[in-house]
Amino acid sequence: MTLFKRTLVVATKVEQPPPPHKRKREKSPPPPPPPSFSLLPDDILVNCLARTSKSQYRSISLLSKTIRSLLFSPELYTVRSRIGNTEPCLYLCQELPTYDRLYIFDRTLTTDGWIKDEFSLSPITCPAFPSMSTTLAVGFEIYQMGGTTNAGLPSSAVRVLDCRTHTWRDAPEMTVPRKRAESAFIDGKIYVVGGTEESMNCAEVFDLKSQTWKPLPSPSGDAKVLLSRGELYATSRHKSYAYDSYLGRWKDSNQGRWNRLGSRAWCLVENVKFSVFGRKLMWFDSERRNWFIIQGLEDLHLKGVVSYPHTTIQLSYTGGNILLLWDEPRPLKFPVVGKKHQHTCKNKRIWCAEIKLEKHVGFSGLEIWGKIVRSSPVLSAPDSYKLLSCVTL
Amino acid sequence: MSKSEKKIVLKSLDNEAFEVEKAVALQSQTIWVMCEDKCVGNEIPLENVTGQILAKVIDYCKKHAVVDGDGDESSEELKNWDTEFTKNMDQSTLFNMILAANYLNIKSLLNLTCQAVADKTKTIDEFHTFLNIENNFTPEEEAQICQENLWAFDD
Repeated sequence: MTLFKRTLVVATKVEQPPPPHKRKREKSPPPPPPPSFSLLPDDILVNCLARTSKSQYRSISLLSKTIRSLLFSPELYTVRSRIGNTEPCLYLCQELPTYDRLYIFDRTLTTDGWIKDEFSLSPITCPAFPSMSTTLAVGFEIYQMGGTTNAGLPSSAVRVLDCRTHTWRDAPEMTVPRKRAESAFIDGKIYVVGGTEESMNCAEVFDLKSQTWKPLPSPSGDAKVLLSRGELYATSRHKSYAYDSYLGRWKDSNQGRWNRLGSRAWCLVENVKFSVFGRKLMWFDSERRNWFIIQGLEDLHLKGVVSYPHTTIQLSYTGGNILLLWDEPRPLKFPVVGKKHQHTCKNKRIWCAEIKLEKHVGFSGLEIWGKIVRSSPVLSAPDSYKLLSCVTL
Repeated sequence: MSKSEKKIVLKSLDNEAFEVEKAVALQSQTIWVMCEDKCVGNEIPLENVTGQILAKVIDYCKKHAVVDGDGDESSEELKNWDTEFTKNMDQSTLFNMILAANYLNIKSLLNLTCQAVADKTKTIDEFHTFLNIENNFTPEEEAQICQENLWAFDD
């Protein structure tokens, strides 16, 4: 017999009825109220929420206490990553005279749409976020190192923001206080250089596994340690060195100087390093030991916005594509009553370009081609807002 | 193996019986465990699922069963079928399908129905009406959240 072959009954009322025979033949009973999803176990709610765009979370979190706590639970992000529904999330900071404020842009970066303003930023509560710190995204965390405290003195404190739960924890302090230092995450370690009081530039390294800081001595007495595009360099008057992070030692180098020009944004995609030089997005061929331009991005370059010397650029990798974020100064002008001159407000637009990469073998060897999936301004904000990090969650 | 051994009868909460191929029913981990553990015979009572919902679950399992290796459906086709399957389900059906998929422990169906909830709730209003979740913030908590949001724009 094939009982289930019956045609599907259009379901309108189903939920747990009182004893079945009682319900039969009643004169059109009022439709039962829709069941509440709060009756479902948390892991199912998390399963549903993980499939929703993160840009919705800000408003969804106001629905109920339960939903709010689920949206800030690490489990949610484990599921998002398991089902492959992760999204790049942009973090910004607003520089104020004595401290900084941290925000998350709670809209989707990679969909077309209107340019949002700073009202699309959700604040991240933090008792006192120092100014002039250096920040670094490592996995789902943002490390915030050094900076100045209320007294204006440099600090050696390290604090870590869990971007899933938006909670802070203290990490071991650096060996020296720093402000306006620079940092990079290389081969599982955090390197911090600069920003110290002494004239001599002193670097240090944090091992995530052992959770310890160690000073990274300069290769020679007068060599200054620099960080550029995920590489450590040291230059003295006569010599250049590059740091081999894998072997953990300095070696002689004949390049380095031109590496320091322009933006220092870089990212790693399947062990290939990408960075921005002037207006161009380039990749590093580890076999030919040189940087090469990414082909096919003329349209992006022509926009020219990348060429401003002071724009902040962030590179990040998401779902197989490179995300290029930069800001473009864009003053706002307002007419002033009774005056001929317009009032000018320092403002900026933050742009986001998503670029799909393809490898080709050309005449002179391997080439990487890029295709612009989209490129548009996503946010308009006062000049005090700076790009901080892009974290995939 | 005789033909009858390959069939199994599933009995719903409201006593509706469905005879299905074992390969179809065994996609449910719960049924699989019942068959392994208890030797319940050929009839399995499912106390948490109504006949109406069970019929849909069986439809899904039939479509997704690979009987004797002849999975002739392309994955594309199966995906489209899945989309159509949940597209017109109303709130309460979807809710009960989720409960059934969870109780019967059919992971792919649970994921499919959860995805359907996400697809049907694209705006905050849809979320509000669809999930029908009662606001259980205390006034103090609500005030604090407002305060936190205000803090972003106070200058």
